[in-house]
Amino acid sequence: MSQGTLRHRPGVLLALIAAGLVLSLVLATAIGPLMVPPGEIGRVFAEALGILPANSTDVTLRDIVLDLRLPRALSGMCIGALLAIGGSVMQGLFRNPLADPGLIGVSSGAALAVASFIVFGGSIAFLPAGLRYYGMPVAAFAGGLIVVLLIQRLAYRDGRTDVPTMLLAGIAVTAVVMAGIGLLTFISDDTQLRSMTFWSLGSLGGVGWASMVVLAPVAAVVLLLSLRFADVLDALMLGEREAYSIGFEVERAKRVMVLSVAAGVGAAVAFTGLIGFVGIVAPHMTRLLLGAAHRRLLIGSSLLGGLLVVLADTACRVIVAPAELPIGIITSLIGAPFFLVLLLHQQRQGYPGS
Amino acid sequence: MISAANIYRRQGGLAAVSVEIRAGCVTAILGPNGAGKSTLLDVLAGRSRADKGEVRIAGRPVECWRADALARRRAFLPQHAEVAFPISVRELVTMGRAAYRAAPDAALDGLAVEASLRLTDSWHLRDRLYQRLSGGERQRVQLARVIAQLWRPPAQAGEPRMLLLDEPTASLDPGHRLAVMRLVRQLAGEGIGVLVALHDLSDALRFTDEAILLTAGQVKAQGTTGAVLDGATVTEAYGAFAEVVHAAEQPVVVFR
Repeated sequence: MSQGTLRHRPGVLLALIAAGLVLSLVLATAIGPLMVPPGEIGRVFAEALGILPANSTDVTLRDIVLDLRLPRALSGMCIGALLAIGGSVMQGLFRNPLADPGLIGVSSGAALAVASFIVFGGSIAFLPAGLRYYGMPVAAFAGGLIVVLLIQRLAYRDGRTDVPTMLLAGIAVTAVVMAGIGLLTFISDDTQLRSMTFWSLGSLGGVGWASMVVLAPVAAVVLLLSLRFADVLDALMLGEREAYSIGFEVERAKRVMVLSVAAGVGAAVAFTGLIGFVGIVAPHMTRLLLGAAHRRLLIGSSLLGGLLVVLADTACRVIVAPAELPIGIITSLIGAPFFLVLLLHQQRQGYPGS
Repeated sequence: MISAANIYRRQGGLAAVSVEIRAGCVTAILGPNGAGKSTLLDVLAGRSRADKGEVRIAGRPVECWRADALARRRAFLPQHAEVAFPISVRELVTMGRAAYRAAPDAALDGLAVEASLRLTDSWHLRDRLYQRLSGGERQRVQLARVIAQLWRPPAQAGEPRMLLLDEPTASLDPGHRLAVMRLVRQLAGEGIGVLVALHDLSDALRFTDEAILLTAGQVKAQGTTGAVLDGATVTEAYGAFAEVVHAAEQPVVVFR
């Protein structure tokens, strides 16, 4: 009953999730091999903003907070939001709560590009170091986008993108791409193999302000864009032709949504490698809390996705400190059982399209 | 309002079908399973394209309409309507108002939703989850959605509107079936042009003005419902001996 009454107060729940996100950011900044008490974090911010005089905090502490943990936590938030938005939009488009951005080939395309980059990437050594940092992300982003465009092209027939064909084309193209990755694995040396494996497990170890500069605007644009399509996604619950019948130009919306998911998820995995299950878990939890209407779902799941990734990343840094666990291990460890429960629950409920 | 001339569509097997739907008139689409009733409705609603022939809505070819402008004038009730995610009845019916999003008016939408739910005897279901409803309740709620889509405040009730219904009474109990057919007549009385695919020929005789009888995608008979549904034609179309009798002062089609 209390859940029922809360469900009718989405504003309160959204505020709670947002508060949880802020709390997780504070936690992520505080926790690590060197604990920084929240009061100290406040002092560091005050100093950075010029409220406190310069050098009133410990330099090491300040560097850890401002240059390591904060940008990493904020990037994690953007990445989680992008994965969750990608999941919400894909699920709306495929009318299935188990859909995932991986279906349209973003992840596999990015993985192939990254594997190629790791094996043949010596050739960009001529670039200045500042640009070289973006080499792998750019490769991952481009790879993801190219595969998505290919899959969308294959599913395009008689002036429309056929969603079931897109799903099947996605499976077929992903198989070919995986073969390519297999081939690269075969010819790679041990170091390259290790890099490829770690990339596929995901890690926020490489993110910082340099990635935040890209991720923050991408996350903002993808969120705003997806919100513009919230009512189309609502209408798609009825089916594509029903959405047309109640007054939506579905074709254009579908194309823009697929591309924005590809760009958003592509940007996220570009910096971190693959992070599984956030795109399924965050939207589903949000649907349970706030209902399936997409405006709320998109906002809620982006906050919740951010929260989950920030917490998971904090856990990664702490569990085996001073080493770091790949974040994909944590998200899969928690996400996969959740996915299973969802699957069984769905079978019992008999969702359409399953 | 909707006129279709010489429609062909290979997928669904329509050949040389011409239809005219007029304001205030209820037209039935009849025929055995697979005769092409749903295909014809889809083509007329602009949901799929004819291979040959032209569909005009209010004089303009259907493919030249913007989806939202068209949706304010024509609503379509599909035969099977599944909703992918759990949503409340009120949310679902409110989706019918999406075509008016360019000039949002929450109060008007609220009126439309309430009026439609009351007309379909489903106002009491408004806060239930759609997924938890029975088949018949779902069908009434979906009907409420398409009525909300065409709903106008009384001052604008004169605007031309068309309602296309694909077997709206298929899973309803007799009481609700009659209520829906009476509602269809009532909507036509307000000037809406109605096209309805039906299996119950007695209902067709009782509640519709005109009829198109399809067999294998072709027009078997077309005209006033009474003229279309004579015993011999129905027998031929459905492959079961049929005659029209009168019971309790109602024409009834009896199959033997």
